[in-house]
Amino acid sequence: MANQNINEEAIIQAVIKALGDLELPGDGSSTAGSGAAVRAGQADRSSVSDESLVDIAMIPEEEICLVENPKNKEALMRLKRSTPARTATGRAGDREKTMINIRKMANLSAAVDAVWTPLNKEFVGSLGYPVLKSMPSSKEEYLMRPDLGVLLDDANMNIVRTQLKKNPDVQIVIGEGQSNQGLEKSMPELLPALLQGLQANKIDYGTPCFVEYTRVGIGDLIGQEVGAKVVCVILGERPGLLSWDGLGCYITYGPKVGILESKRTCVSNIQDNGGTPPAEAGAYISDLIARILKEQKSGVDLII
Amino acid sequence: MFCVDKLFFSIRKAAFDSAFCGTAERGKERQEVAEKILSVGIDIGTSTTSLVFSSLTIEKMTGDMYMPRTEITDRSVIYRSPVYFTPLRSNVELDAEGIREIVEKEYSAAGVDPGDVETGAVIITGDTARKVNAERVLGEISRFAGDFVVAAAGPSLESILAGKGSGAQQYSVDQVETICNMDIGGGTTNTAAFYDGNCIDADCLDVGGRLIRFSRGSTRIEYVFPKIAEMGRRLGVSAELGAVLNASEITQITDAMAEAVMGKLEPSQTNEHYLFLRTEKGENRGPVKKIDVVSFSGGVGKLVYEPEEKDKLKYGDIGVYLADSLKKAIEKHSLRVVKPKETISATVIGAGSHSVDVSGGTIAVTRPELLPLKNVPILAIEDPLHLPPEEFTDQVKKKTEWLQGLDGDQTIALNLKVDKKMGFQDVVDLAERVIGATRELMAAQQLLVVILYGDYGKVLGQSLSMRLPPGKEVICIDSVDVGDGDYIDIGRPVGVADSVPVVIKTIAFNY
Repeated sequence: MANQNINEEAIIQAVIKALGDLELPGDGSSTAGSGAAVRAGQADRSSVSDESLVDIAMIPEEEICLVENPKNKEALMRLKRSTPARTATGRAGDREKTMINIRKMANLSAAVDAVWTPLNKEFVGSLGYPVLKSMPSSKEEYLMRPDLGVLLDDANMNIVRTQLKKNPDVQIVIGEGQSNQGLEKSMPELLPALLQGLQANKIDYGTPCFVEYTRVGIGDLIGQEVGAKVVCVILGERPGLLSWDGLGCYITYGPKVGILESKRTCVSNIQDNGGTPPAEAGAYISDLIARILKEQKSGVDLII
Repeated sequence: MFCVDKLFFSIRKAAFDSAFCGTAERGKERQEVAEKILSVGIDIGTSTTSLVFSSLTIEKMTGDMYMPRTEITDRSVIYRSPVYFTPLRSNVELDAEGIREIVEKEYSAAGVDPGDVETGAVIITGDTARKVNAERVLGEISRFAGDFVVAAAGPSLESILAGKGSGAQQYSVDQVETICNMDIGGGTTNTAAFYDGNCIDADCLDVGGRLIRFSRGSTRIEYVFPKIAEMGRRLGVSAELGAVLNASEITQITDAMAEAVMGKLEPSQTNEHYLFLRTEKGENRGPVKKIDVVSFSGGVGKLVYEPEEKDKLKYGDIGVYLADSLKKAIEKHSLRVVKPKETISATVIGAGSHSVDVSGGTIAVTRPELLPLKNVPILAIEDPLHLPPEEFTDQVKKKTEWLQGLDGDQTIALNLKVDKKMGFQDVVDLAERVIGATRELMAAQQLLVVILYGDYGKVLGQSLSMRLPPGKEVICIDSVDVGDGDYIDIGRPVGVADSVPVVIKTIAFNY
């Protein structure tokens, strides 16, 4: 309970401390000469301890209450526990409080980083699966041209033809999609649970493959080419301001190029912070694939 | 500009319409995945016996894009029996025949076939649980009542059910206050404190209206509960069998009882009457939080909300006097009191509507035919991920022997207390540790039952199943909070998702 008061006061102090390190040009006191200003700055700095400051972006949302003098704080905090959304944010005049603004900027940066961080080739290599790349020639093009993300050039098609096992029950396709963090953080928890579950269900999952610049539709092409009964594409989910390491999973029965989006069964928001724990999701997806194989349908046709 | 606006408006409207219709259709679909189950509650209390049928709605709470999570979304009472006096053969024996007749009559009055009843609880409460044939009657009635109807007794469970049935639990959520419900009946007072929907304290006192009964039309004691006679001696009142009490002597006793009830609410919990009248000895934790408000249920509790009863011997016992003493005590201690939704029927509604819960939506059951399981004792292991393997094995072995007693075939449920987020490797480690520690147990047993709180039921279940020899089955359920000393009933999977209904019982017959 004590934590729930991480308090605006403490946070403001942290911000003031941080701002204290910055020298504002044109400050009246600097007329005494830059040397003095620097010395003053140093003096200030030496009075700041070496401990790291509270990372404003890392304070759990459910511990923050910025409403001033709430009538019933307990009620407000309970409501906050029911959602990861930014609530009880208070206001400064008719604007957002600085704290909220900074947290949003921090989260937005994390989201942008998740998309733009270059693919960790070493990590991908460590998975030990054939690595493909869809048609876009850059991240920018990948983001701007979804139509290219579902195509493979001849060299890549050749890998599909020669390195992937033919006619598996399910073809697994994984990729970074729009979150490299989702790939690196959540995939290592999900994938082994999924494969274990498929083994338990005695499902032939052929040769899983990795596709850089992943779009969900790429699975249709690969699944069709190898003759898989089902394709299961797992990729980094587009980050938002609340999570940036989530995975999404799309399972399609009878994959073929041009299949309708409504034929896909989706499991979304797989991440460890308020979403579904990735390991449990892997186990769940394996049973879901078993059901889709049994009922021979997916998407809106399948009532989960 | 006008055109653009208009166009924009029509697009928005189309989007709105489609979104709206989508919701309507989705609503229909949701109806299909909701399941209603019929639950019975039978309360055989010290003075009264009653029965309710409830309709519970189990529904998938998540959209199609998320993993299934099920909840009981509605608990409606659809039939209430009249309140009967509990048939007794003598002061120490229940009239089994009479009780059975009442139950059968009420099933037919409600038009319910025992085969239709999917869950629920028969609960023997208060002083009745001390009768010599209580356990047998309980077993018989629960066998008649339906396939998955549990027999339950035990002061803590009774307190919790009464607190939930009265509506106090819901009050703690809706009003954001910590509430303590006092269910004061004929034989016992069951207290349960709720904070944000969770029971934070459950207790039981030997305070009730029928602990002293008088011969018809007099105040000559026909029956007195020994502990109350002892309390009388302490107060200087001769409350022995055959003695005649005057109004002030009765009031002295009921005042002391009321003070005991108030003592429960004091943070110190050192009130001498309270300590004397508690049913369970041993260390008391006391309420974890300050109690904001109090509610009363049960036959005597109900009288607290009614105008003063002039006929003090209306029920031939000390019930009316006790209600008067409670009213005085409430004023003296300036308690804030609210009237709960249910008073006299709190326990039976608790048994009918609140005894059952559902597990998480993703669990592992390798052979559903093995369900339902009844009265499975819980063997809790703290921090199994860090416990040295020998110690893990040792704990399983020792506790199993203790829980199985003479019945070596008794299935044991392993409750793993893991309170951190687990990655896949943790889950595998845990599975291997469990397999190692239960090797001996599983040599004799076909089924491994594992219960978790965190959402890892399916992945741990699969991990266990992969590592067990062929022919051994696994039931691994999550989102269930139990502890050492509890018993659990696990029902067959309900239609929506994979969840199973569960009933958690504290140990039976420890009065």
